[in-house]
Amino acid sequence: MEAPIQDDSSPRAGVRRALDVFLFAPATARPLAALRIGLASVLLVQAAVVQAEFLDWFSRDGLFQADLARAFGPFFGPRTGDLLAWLSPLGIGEATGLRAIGAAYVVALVMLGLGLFTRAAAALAWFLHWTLMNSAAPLMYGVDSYAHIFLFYAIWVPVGRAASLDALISGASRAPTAGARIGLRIMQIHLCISYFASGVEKATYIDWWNGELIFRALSLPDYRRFDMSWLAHYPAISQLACWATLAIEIGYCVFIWPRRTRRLWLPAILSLHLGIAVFLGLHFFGAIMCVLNFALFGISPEPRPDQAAFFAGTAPGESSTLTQPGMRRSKAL
Amino acid sequence: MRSTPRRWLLVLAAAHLLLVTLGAAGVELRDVGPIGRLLYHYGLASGAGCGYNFFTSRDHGQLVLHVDVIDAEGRRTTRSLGTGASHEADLRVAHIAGEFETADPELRRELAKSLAAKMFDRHPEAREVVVRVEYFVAVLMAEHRSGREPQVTRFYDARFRQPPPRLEARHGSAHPG
Repeated sequence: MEAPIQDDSSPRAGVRRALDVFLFAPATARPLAALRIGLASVLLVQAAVVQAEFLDWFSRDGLFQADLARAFGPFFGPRTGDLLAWLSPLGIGEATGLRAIGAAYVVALVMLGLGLFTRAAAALAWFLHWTLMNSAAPLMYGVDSYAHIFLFYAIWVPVGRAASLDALISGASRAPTAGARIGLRIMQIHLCISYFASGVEKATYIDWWNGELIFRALSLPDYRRFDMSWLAHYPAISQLACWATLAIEIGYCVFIWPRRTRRLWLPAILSLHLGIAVFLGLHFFGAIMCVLNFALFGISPEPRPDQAAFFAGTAPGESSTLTQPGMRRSKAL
Repeated sequence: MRSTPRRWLLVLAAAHLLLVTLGAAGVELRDVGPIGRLLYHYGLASGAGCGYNFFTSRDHGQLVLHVDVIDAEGRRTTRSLGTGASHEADLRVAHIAGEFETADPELRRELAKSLAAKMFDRHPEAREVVVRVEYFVAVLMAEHRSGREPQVTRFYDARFRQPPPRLEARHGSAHPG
């Protein structure tokens, strides 16, 4: 039997209600589906681009010969050597075993992208991605960290609830759920923490204030794509770019939430990542960050008015449970 | 919040995001007893322990890795460790240079030996392979305006000779003893 609804107008109750709406107001899985498809697509393209190097990077007679790869990276976590040891009783050699691991990773990503056995596909993709990260740690960088983080979320969050073969086959309800909302919120907050930490860390370096860092980054051999030495004659441009980066990253955790400022912040952060991709050659890092930002903050999880009525089993225009008093839709997104 | 599962979900989410915050702040949980170690391992598995200090080096330089292949006639050619098939692959391979800075001398030597072995494998004509790590120091904008060029200094190098063909290989059969 339900407890009677009491009209509690105390500030504490107000905060609790607001928090409840922010974290649990039913949301559609559209942003989660965009994240799933985008993440899988970027990782598939990345796999296609580096597949020629696969054996060189992970085999015992590759760049890290014998057990040398174990000297790098964290000591905890699976490695290709462990998986190959499990496969060896089946008579599977190293090269065949590595190809099988690579193929399984690609199949898992394809299934994740299509939303077929989504959770299992996400779990397999996450595990194999982690295995590959650990097995050639010196070759990894930021794009791998973000992919690892969001593949892990894809296991737990209902990313297969929309635009997926699972939803098509099972004919499951597409109704907004609290699970989609809390999953979205955790990932959004994680992204905010990462930008804030990155921005604050940058702000402690004088080179980010006087503009030297961008000039330097553009001239380092690993990142030099174009001759940007002319920037030295216009230091104000480099300095403004540095300040803009600091403002965008530090301000992200505040200004990405209100709808009005999000219209400015989302294009700003997407431009920042496009700039990094084009000028520093970090194409996949740029791509994955654009996918994350666009999916998590660029796609509304709110049911459209006609859908709200549909989900609630009422005709469009009539009052639905989603618009009942006391059950306000989240205004944050 | 209205039900027990939600309350538990909130507690788990808050704990996870707390770990994300600690990871972002660079707090090392590994050394904080068994629970710290457990959380550290969870952080590795979930990515919650990641740091986000991109482009925050106080260092004005970067280590750059070169591999020279020297053939029987003494011709020296600088080769890439990547296959050159993609920029992404080249970028990742270039990151190996950073390991020469952090690794201990023995590990540094092992890494150089491993890279050289790969190059001998890839270039059968090679008689010697030289693994060179240079330190590239970028200039400041004012220095560039005054005509100063970036400096490149030697950081580490190691020369490896192709081992002579083994007896059994030359004779085409195994030679016991």
